Amino acid sequence: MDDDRYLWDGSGAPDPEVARLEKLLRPYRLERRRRPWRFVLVAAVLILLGTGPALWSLRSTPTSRWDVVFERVGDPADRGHVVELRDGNWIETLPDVRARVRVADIGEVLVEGESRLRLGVSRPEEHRLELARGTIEATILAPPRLFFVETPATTAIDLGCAYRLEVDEAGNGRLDVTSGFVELTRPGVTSDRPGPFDVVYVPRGASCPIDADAGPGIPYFRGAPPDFVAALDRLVSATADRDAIDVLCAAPSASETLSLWYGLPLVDRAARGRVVDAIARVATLPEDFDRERAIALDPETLLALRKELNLYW
Amino acid sequence: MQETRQPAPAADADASRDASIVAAARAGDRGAFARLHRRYERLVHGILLSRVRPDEADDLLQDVFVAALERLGTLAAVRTFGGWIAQIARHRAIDHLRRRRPTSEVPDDLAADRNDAASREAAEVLATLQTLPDAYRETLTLRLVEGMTGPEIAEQTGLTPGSVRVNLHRGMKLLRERLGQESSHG
Repeated sequence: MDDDRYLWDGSGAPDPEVARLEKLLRPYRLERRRRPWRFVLVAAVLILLGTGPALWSLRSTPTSRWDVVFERVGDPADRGHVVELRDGNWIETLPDVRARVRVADIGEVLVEGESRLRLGVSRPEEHRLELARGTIEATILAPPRLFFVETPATTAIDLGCAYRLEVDEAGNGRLDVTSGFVELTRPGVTSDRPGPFDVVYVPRGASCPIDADAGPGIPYFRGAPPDFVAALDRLVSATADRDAIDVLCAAPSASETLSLWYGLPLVDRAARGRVVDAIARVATLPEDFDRERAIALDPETLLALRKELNLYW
Repeated sequence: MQETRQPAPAADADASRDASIVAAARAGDRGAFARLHRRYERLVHGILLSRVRPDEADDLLQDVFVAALERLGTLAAVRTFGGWIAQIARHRAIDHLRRRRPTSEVPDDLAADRNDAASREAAEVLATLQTLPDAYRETLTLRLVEGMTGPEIAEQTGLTPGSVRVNLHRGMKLLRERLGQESSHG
């Protein structure tokens, strides 16, 4: 073997070709693709005090620290100092002000104007926020299930991703996932072993409506045809007729099996076979798949089906 | 010989440390799983990147750790976490390529990058890297892209240092040849 010490462990005289390729390929390196954290400590305007966008109340025994920066919408250079807030503090942004909340060393949450957000615990094994109303954009690069955002109707659990979440005062809203996966829980679900439809997995490129009473609805990929999405709305509102089922089952793409799977329990038993058959036309089913068990909403059958379909989502 | 999957003696201390972290993670300690994530994310990302597009590797990275978290209880030997999660990453990448949606498009940022000559060349080199045999493209991606050294690759994958060194050497030779062929044809 030639002198390959540089290729082996970086020691010895650099091999020019290896060094060139290292430099060329470095932008693909994981750490280089992360969004850097930058806080401008000296700001032109102290937005926090100047416009009073934040209201907070200190709890008696704060345990978690959050770093927050407020900035003008449309002019990120116009920002305040880093503000150190604690769990239990509320952030309330004015229409022309937004806040950047640093989530330890795992990411950032951008709180848009006219939002109300409560800071919860922030510790290595759990970071928790509560979005009472408004819009946030979260960018998290971390192990799954470390970052939680509670809303009035659901909890968004990060599985390592980037997403936009908006809710109104009542709890109605929408989740748009741009990277990775987010899990939405249904109201009242506390089991460690939730049923197939107790949680909703929303993958990259998909959105999920959130209802104040029912929680997460049926997720769908944002490229889905409008009539397909409208049919999903009718399914959720229990106004689905034969026409809606026809639209959903007509010619779904493999990725639209995401919506069909989550729609299964909302379709009456007589029509459920059509939905299962529509899935079977465009996707590979588990080897031991039992159609009748799926129609009967057997949890094991449905979870096995979801695991297989997940490859298309 | 392309690879030999045997624990390297020099990696015993790290493996032992892994064992205690994995045991804690299996017992439900989220902080322990976070440590495993930080320790192995470059390995997983590199293995994915040796098979799929960069934007896909970013997404699949999280999929792999989600799958690992869900299956942690099935990991038989807690000293082999690196080799185990590497295998999950390989399977996930293969599944992804098998089921890749035909409508997948090149993301805007990457498309824009390709207007830049260096980025275009980088994309070409990465594509050539992905044509190499598995053992070569994985170790070379970990070395050239992720910046891991040969000893680090051996320690995390469970391959012997000798195998990794051979894979790097032969892989680099093959990569030079293929890049040379492309430039002579281009």
